[in-house]
Amino acid sequence: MNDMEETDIKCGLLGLDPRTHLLSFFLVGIVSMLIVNLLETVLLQAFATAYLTANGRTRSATRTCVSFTVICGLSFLPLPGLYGVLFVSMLHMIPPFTTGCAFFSLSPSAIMCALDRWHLPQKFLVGICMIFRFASILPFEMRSILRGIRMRGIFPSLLGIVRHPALAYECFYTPLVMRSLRLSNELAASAELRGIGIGTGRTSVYHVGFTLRDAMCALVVTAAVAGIYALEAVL
Amino acid sequence: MRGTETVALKNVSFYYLDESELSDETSADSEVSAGRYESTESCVQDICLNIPAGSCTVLCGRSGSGKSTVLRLIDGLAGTFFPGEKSGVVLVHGTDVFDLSPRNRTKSIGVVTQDPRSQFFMGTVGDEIAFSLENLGTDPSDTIKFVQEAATLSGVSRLLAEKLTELSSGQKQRVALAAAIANRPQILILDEPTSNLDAEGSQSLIKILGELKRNGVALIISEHRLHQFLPVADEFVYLQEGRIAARWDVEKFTSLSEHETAKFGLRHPDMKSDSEIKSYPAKDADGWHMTDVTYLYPSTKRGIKGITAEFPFGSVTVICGENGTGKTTLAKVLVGAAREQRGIVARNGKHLSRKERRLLSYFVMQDVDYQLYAGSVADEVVLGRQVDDALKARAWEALAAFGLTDLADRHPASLSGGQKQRVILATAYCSDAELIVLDEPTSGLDGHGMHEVVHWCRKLASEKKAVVVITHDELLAQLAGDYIVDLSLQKRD
Repeated sequence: MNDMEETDIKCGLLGLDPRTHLLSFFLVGIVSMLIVNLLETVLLQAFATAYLTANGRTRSATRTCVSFTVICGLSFLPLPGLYGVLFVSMLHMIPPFTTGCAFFSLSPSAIMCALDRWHLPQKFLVGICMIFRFASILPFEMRSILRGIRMRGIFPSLLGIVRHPALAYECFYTPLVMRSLRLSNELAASAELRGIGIGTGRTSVYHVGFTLRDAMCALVVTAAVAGIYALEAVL
Repeated sequence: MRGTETVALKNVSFYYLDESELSDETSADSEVSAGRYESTESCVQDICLNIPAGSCTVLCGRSGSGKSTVLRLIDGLAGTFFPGEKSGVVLVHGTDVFDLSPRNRTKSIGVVTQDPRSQFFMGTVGDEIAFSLENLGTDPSDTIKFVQEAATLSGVSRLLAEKLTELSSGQKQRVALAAAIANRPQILILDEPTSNLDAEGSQSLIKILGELKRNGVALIISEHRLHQFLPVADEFVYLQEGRIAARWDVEKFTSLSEHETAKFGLRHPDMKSDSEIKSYPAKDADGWHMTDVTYLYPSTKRGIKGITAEFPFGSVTVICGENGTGKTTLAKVLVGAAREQRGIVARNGKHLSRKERRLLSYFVMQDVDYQLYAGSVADEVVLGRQVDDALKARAWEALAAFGLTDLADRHPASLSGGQKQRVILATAYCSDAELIVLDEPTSGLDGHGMHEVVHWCRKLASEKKAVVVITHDELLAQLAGDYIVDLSLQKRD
C-alpha cells in the first residue's frame, strides 16, 4: 500500500490538477491557431516541450519535438496541391498535442474524478475512460497481430510486405477492427457492472483540487502564450 | 456461515434479441455452434436457483449450454446491456435485479470475467482495484484500506504499483478478483476463473474463494474444470440446452464415474488416452531437436535455460509446466520467433537457421482472432500463397478434414471460437509447415471440446507433421501427448 500512499498527494511530477492541464491545452491550442509565423510556432513548441518535460514525460517530449522537426522540414518542400497546406496545418497541431500529452502523466482515476466535479455528462466520462483504456491496450493488440501474421508465416520477410502492401494492410486492419469491436463491447459491459453509471460523487485516491501550484502554472502558461502571441503582433 | 437466500431465480427464461450474443455462449464450442444452437430460439428456459449467503454454486455443462447467460441474468446485464426477452424473476436480496440502482448493484455484486483484460480500465494494479470503490464515492482513506485488504487476500499486495500490461495471466486473474471483492460485495460471480491458471494458481484461487465463502459471500461460478472446486462447492448445477438438467451435491458429484461425466460432456480427472505417454522419443526418431537452448528476456532475465527436447514427426509432443516456466518462450525459439542465445535447433541432425524455422513452422496463438485475416474461410486457408489446382485440391481436403466445407463461404469473424480454431488448424494442415505449435488450445473447453482438440492434433500428426501443444492443463497433456516435455521438471533439474 505504501506505493499508493506515496502517490496519494500528487499525481504527475508537478502534482497539478487535471483541469489545469486542460486549461494549458486550450491556451496553447488557441494561440497555435492564431499565430502564423514559423518563429512563434517554434517558440510555442519549445514552451509545450518544456511543459511536458516539467510534468515528467521527457520521452514523449523528445518524440513530439522530432515529429515537429520532420513536419517542419516537409512543409518547406515544393509539393503540389494541398500537401504544403497539410503539413503547415499539422505543424500547428503539434504544440497543443504536446501539451495534451501531459494528461498521460495523470492517473485516469484523477482525471475522471476532476471532470466529475465539473458535472460533465456521464457519457463523456465513460468516453474518457475508454480512450485511456484503448490508448494503453492498442499497442499490445497491434503487437499481437503482427506476431500472429509472422507466426502464420504469411510474410516470412519484410520483402513480402513491400511486394504485397494490400494484403499486408488487410492482414493488419481486419483483426484490429474485430478485436477493437469485441473489446469495446466487453469493456462497456464491465464498466456498467463496476459502477461507471452511478453518477456524480466519484472520488479518487489521488489529489484532485486546485492549489497554489495550479495557480502559478496557469499564470506561467497564460503569460508565455500571451507573450508569444504578442511577439507575432510586434514582428 | 450459510444464511438466507441471497440470489433467487424463479422460473427464468431468456431469449436474446441479438443473435450475435449467442456466439459468446457458443464461443468455445464447435459442434454446438455449427448449426444446432443457431436454430434454437431461446437461450435459457425455466431456470430455478436459490443461492444462500456463504454458499458456492458451480454451473457446469457443455459450451453453449447457457451458463454465461445465467450469470448475465444474475448480474442484470441480460435484458439490459444484452437486449432480450425475459420472463420470470431474478431476485438479489429480495429485490428484482432490474430494480437495483447502479450503486446498489455495484455494491452487491462483484464479477470476474473469463478474460481479465476485458474488465481492466486503469493503468496500475492499485488504481484498478480502487476503480469500483471510487465510482461508489468511497472516502479515499477507506478506499486505500479496502484496496490493501483485497490485494492482500488475493496475493497481489506487492504488485500495487505495477502496470497491468506487465503482469502474467495468472497475476491478472488475481488482480481481477481483488478488483471484484474490494468493495466487499455479498455476491461474487466468476466466469471460468481457472482457465488461465495452472494447478498451483487454481489451488490458491480456491483457497481465497473458501475464505470469501466463510465471510458469507455467495459464490456463483461457471467452470469446466470441476473437480478442483470440490473443497468449496456446495452444489453443481448442470445445464443442457438452456435448462437445468441435473443437480448434484458434492458427495454425489464426487461419486460420478468418468463414464458418467463423459455422458454429460464434462471433464473428469480419470479421463485417459488410448496410447501411452512417453517421456523421451527414440534417439533416431525423425523430427526437430533442441539441444541445450537458452533464451532469457533481456528485461526480466526470465525464460528458458539449457533446454534439450525432441519433437518427432507424426506425433504430438506436449510442452507442459506451471505458469511462468517458459513454455511459450520455448515454442517461440522453436518456430524462430525468438533467437536462441545458446544451443541449437536442428532437423534430423541438421542445424536450422531462424529463417528456416519460420518457413517450416506454424504457430497457432491462444487467441485465434489475431490470426484470421481473409474475407472467407476458403480464402483464409490459401491466404498468401500462389493458388493452383494442386493447392485448391489440398484446401478442400483440409476443409473437409476439419468439418468446414459447409462454412467455406462464411467470414471467419462470424464464426464461433471453436470454428475459428478449426479454420486455423485447417490452414496449418494445408500449409507446407512441418512443425505446428498450438498454444493453450483447450482454454475454456469442456470435456467434449477437449476430445475434439485431441482428435485434431492426431489428424495433423497423421500427416507426418510434428505437433507441439503448449498447455498447463494436465488432463490435455495426458490425453493428447505421445511425448511430454515438462519444463517444471527441467527447471528443478
